[in-house]
Amino acid sequence: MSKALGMRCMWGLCGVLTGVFGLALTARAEVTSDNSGSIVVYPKVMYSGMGRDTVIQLSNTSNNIVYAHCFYVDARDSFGRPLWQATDFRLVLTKQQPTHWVVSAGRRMNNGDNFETPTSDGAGLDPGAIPPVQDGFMGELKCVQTDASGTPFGGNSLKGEAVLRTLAGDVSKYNALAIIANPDLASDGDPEELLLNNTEFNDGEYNSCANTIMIDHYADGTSSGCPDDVCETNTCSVSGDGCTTDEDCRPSDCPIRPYLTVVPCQQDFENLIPERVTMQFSIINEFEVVFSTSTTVECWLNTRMADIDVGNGTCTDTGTACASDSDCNGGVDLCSKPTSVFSHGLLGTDTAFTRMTPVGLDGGVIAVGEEQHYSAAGANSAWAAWNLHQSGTRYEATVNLDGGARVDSIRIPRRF
Amino acid sequence: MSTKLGFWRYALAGAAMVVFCSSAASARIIEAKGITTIEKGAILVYADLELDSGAGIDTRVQLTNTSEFLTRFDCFYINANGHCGGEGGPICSNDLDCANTPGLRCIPGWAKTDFRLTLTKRQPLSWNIGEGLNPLPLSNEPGQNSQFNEGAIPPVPEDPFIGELRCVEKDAGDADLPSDRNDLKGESTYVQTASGDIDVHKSNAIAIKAIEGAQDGEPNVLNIGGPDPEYGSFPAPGQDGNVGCPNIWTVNHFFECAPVVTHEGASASAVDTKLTIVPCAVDLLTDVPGGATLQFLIYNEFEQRFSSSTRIDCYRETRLADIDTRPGPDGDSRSIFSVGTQGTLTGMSRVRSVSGPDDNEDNYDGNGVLLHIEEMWGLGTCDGGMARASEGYAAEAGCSVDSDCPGGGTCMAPASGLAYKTTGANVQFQGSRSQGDRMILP
Repeated sequence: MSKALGMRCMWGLCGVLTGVFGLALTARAEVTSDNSGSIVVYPKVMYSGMGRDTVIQLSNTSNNIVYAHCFYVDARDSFGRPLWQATDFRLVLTKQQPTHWVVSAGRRMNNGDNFETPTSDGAGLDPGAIPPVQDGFMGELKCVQTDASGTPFGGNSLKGEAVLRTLAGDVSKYNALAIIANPDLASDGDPEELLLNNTEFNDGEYNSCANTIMIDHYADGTSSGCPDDVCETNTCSVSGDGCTTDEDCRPSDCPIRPYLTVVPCQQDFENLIPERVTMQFSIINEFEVVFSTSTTVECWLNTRMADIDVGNGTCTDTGTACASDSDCNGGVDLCSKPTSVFSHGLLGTDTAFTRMTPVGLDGGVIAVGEEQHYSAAGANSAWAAWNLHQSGTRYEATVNLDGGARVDSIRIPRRF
Repeated sequence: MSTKLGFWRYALAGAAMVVFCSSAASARIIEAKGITTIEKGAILVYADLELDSGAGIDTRVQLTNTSEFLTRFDCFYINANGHCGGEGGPICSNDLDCANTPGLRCIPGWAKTDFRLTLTKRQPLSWNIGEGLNPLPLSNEPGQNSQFNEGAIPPVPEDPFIGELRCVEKDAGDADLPSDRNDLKGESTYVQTASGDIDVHKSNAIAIKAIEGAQDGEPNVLNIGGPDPEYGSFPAPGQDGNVGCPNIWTVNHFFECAPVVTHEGASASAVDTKLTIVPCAVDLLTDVPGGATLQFLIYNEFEQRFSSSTRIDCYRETRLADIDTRPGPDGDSRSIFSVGTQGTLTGMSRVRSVSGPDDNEDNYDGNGVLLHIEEMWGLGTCDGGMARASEGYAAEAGCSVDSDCPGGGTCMAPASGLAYKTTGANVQFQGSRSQGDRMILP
């Protein structure tokens, strides 16, 4: 090859690489909490009579009537395995209609509750008969937009939020994750199998789940400093201990704990096969030191992050071994796990940046984060949920792997 | 043909071939977004920062450089405190707060405090706005790549403080130039402690994405969307115009004083809602705050539609019931956002800011806004009896504000000291508009 021709090839190749690189930089996830979609996922839904209840909000953002097929997935532990019991129901929302229900109560079709004083919880156009969940329910809620016949439909009209509320009144809110449909292809192929394979570079049915979930979180055990416990006339205002300065009143027993709830994107409601995904975690502290660990999600995972890599810890008051708070004086004391890669004891900094990625050809996941902040002396706590950042798509991340690309799918029960 | 010209011809031909082939393979973005709360960006907006040491309130900011490279950025605290009678007067949020200073009105304020940071790769950072952070981690000893963090974060200038924080990513080589890399993500956590109880909520900073290679204008003038976008996104098929700040915000909310009963009737709260609204456009060079007129379409669960409007100037944090009534509890029960008016517990409000006149040649008067929502779930008791929301229920619904109490009663906080617990969340949005917004930096 002449030198001139070789140079031309090289410059052309540079252009190709620039074009590819430029397009690749624009790749991004489209399972979103910012917009409405055709599948909305509430990854963390709970009800316990003495614990937390969940208030679901769901809205139709379009000017058309919208139908939805919803599934509660009960993922409680049953003899060491997740139960993975699905209960489904159907909803109808008129244009721009919001609706809500409390999962412990469900919502009945009852036109008589529209005229009560004070305003009834069931006032409004009832979207359908929504069953209550059982006491002890822990799992997710998923709603798929359909047409009037029940066939999945890519209208991208659904959005939602969930509020987790304790019996004592603490509240924690997150936005439901919406999977956006490609309206041209959403009902292509098998209408009961929804393929999550639409990306910036591939025409598919529904957007692919994210490849990487990014979590900015407090290190487990970080003390918030119990700021309201101050030294007044040589006595701490909250703990009652003796003191000379405010710092004497701020012991490290106001810890913060990060929690993670993860749901695999792939689900088979027809054959009731729970999906397993192995997740790799890369944790970076404020000193740029990198740690790593991994775990497997089967059907649904709700975990204190420190429990991911460490089974046992020590009770903060007695120093005895524990697996959870319930092992520490019936839950009055806290189970500390300072050897976890997510803990302040090991990380050495208050916050960390964690990236969570499925391994190999495992499917994508949807996740929400939550932090539990304890008050002075650990007596009270408050929860704060938030939506997690994402990057990339599972489809594009696996397209060049042997056996790739990974295509997650949601199979809903066939009509009969 | 010169080698230089030949290089460009073949390079452009190669790039065009990639783009063409990608188009032929039907790359499909369903709806492009100019802003996001769950992806990285080049500009971060923390819309709802609050500090009040006397009430045990602080906000913890988290900011992360997600890239593999050293990253620089400029940050600006924007102090939206009002002052009775103007600068130097007592801090206020509305005229009711100036009742002790007769003749003085609450004059809105808008003042910036800026600081510059350099963070090493994949560096997470966090600080309480009441304390700042100095020194930064890895400022005195190097990180893994022998690089140092640089800069210092001041505390916010006043206590109490309400306002926002904006951070703009800058070029690593020349700190005066904006960057198009989209490396930043952030969160803020509101914390209130009182008498042993605690309340927290957490939400994401709003990220405005840079368009790669588009930062070609004046380095301190950042065009978001509009005809010459540097930030935001180009439109997806079917979208009109480049995408910047959203056209419509779709806010799912409870109506004011909504009685929400959980745990099969064993627990209940009256819920009130606050919106924080900041303009997308800001002029930090001449300290001219942005503003907008907002139009609301409110749908209840009967699909009935109502409307209202209000105006924001520079920053506004408001309860829904104060949008169409006077600030404070007076008239809240007759607000269009009141549960008694609407007849259902929840609604969805579509919020649209009115853009500038059509004949504006510049087309950068989109008057876009950014929103954040906060709910207050009542724990208090009314001194004059049960809260409005409690009538007819087995469980007494806790009140959060005085207007939750009948007959002008007062909502008394429980022994724990907190009258309510809060949630905070990002608001969803849709659509784009032809006009853009501008951020002008010093």
